[in-house]
Amino acid sequence: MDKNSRLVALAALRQRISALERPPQTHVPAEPDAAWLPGIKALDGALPPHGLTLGALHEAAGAAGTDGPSAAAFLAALLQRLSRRDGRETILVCESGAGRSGRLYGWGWRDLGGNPAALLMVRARHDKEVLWVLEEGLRSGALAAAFAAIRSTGFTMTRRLSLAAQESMTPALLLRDDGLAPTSAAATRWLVRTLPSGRDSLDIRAPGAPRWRLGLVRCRGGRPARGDVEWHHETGAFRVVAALGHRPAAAAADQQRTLRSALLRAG
Amino acid sequence: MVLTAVDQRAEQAGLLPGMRLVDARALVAGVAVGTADPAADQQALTRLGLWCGRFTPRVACDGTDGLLLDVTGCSHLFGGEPAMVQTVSKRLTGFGLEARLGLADTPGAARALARFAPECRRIVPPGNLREALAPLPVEALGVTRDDALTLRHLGLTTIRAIIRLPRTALLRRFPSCGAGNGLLQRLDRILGDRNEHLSPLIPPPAYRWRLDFAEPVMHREGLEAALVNVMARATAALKRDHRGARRLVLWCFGIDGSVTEHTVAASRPTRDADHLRRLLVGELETVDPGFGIDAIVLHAASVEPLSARQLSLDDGQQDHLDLLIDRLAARLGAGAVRRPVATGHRFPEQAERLAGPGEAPASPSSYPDLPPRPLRLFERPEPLQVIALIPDGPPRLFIWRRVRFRIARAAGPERIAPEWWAPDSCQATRDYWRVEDTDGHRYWLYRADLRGDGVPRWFLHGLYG
Repeated sequence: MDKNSRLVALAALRQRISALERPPQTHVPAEPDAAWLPGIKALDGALPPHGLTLGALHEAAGAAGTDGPSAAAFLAALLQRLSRRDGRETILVCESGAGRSGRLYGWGWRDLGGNPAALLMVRARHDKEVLWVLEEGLRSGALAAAFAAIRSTGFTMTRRLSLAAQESMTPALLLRDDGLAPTSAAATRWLVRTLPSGRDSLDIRAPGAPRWRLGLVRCRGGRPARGDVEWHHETGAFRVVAALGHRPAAAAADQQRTLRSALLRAG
Repeated sequence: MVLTAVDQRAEQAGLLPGMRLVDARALVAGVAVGTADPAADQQALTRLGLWCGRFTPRVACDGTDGLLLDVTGCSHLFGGEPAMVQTVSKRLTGFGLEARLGLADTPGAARALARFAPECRRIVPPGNLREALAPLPVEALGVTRDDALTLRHLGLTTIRAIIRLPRTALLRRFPSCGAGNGLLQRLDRILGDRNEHLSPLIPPPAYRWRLDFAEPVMHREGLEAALVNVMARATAALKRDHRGARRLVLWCFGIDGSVTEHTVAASRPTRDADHLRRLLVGELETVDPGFGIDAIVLHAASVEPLSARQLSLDDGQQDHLDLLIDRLAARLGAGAVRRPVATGHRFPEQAERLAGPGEAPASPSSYPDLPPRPLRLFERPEPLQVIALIPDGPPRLFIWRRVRFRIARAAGPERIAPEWWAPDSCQATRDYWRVEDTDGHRYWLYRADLRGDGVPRWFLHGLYG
């Protein structure tokens, strides 16, 4: 067999395999005009050229136990960067029970830049049910995105969710409590650490815009990256935090002093 | 204490209902006695009536010890009227119940025959009503005890004697006492000259389909297959009438007499067989077939007009969403799927209500501008220990779940007072602080003087991202 015919045979085989691997898509919704990108050079460069994949699973977790709400807020912020042009608006939010960290609050969602009227809140009893709800939501093909918070899950479930997301071109955002320890089939995995915020422009003592240290620990078709960002809901954009933007050391020392005196006074 | 009911052996021994217990004990030493429970009796009768729903959709309770079944148009399913009576009798005997069955053209006649006729003459073919009723005693008319006594005093002991009398004479003697309980009305009803209404246990449904199994179904898979069959018939009927179902009820009749009821609801009228079947399959997971199920009945309890629609231009996204909501609600319960709606109340926990998916969604403008709210809210604010430098100043340190948090930044206070227009509100004024600890985590705290003793208490109400 000469080299040429072997190449032809190989190409034919590759085509067959790719046809087997990719199930025929039942309905192909219109791609959004803009790529889904965080809009930060350090992160955009690490992601594939089309940005975050629409039909895929994206996971986030807090770097420490107390960073869970920050990871949730980051995912909510990331959703604000997504623009769909196919008329899907509803965002499914599923959580199990009234957890230790309360429930999602529509007002807070609005203050991150979202529209509470688009939320469909589903309360499940445990992780298994949350994952079922998430999968049903993805398969329905009626959602702009689906968002769920769970404690932990295994590889098989994430693969299922990825396939369901791919089928309907619905992004699935999964907030995990386990610090991304188990392996996963997610397209991107983010580790979120809370950073002290900068100054509020109007009130010197008030907390400023939320700041997070984002670690893109896994990215299919891209490479890992990290970056410190600030979320501005008015503009719907992330902003890079300057390296020198931290609070001066003197202020911290001063605060330590006042705190100690307060403790002494309190006995 | 008086006997209210006796069984066959007691009756043979000479005991009768209405007899005093001491007399009964005197007659039969060691007679077994149980306390009468009329309410439970009535419940049992209703249950039995529901079970009789397998023979006909129209079943009504008759007094405290009878059931009326309207088998018009149903008997041919059981091989004719005598065969049907036999089937019913056999099934009831199987349950250990002793039943007297009468069958006639009118409910009153059937009732009279069952209660007063000898066993061989309880089934009356159409048209022979008068002859069949004639030999029965006057009590069979169902008149009041006084009327029956008067009739007996007059020497009128059978229905035959009354039918022969002129109606005017009867009307004079036994005037109607309001509610149509007079002798003549009774007579007319029993003979079919006047209409008698039944009040069925199950309101007559327009959309109802049943499926009998040759062999009892022991497994859920079998039931699901049967459901496909019934659902196809149901949706065909709904399509024919341009209707969609909002609520479906499925009854499973077990061979041991148990009846289980499963209800599912759709957020919009639908006749999508696949969707409705999937809703019901979720319910079937809870079914325990037990000894087997030998019949199922599907009933569209709530039906609304639904014309054949063109697919909407947005590729049917709303349809997909409604189907999704139905599926989630069928599995998790109706209250589990909700949308947030701003209410206009002041206190944060009341400022947002979770509304059912059927209600109109809120417009974005109904969330007015306020200082930033947390992404996560505690349904029940968690108590804190807080240290502040000055009594009304910003908090500097708080202890939550036994962990100390040092506060680096604080914004506030934002005062939220009870609504003056709601005088019954027992809430205290709250001062909210938006604080950030030294690691950057943000919290929403508030201080409230709950007891009115001037000692404020601190709570954590939410977490910012």
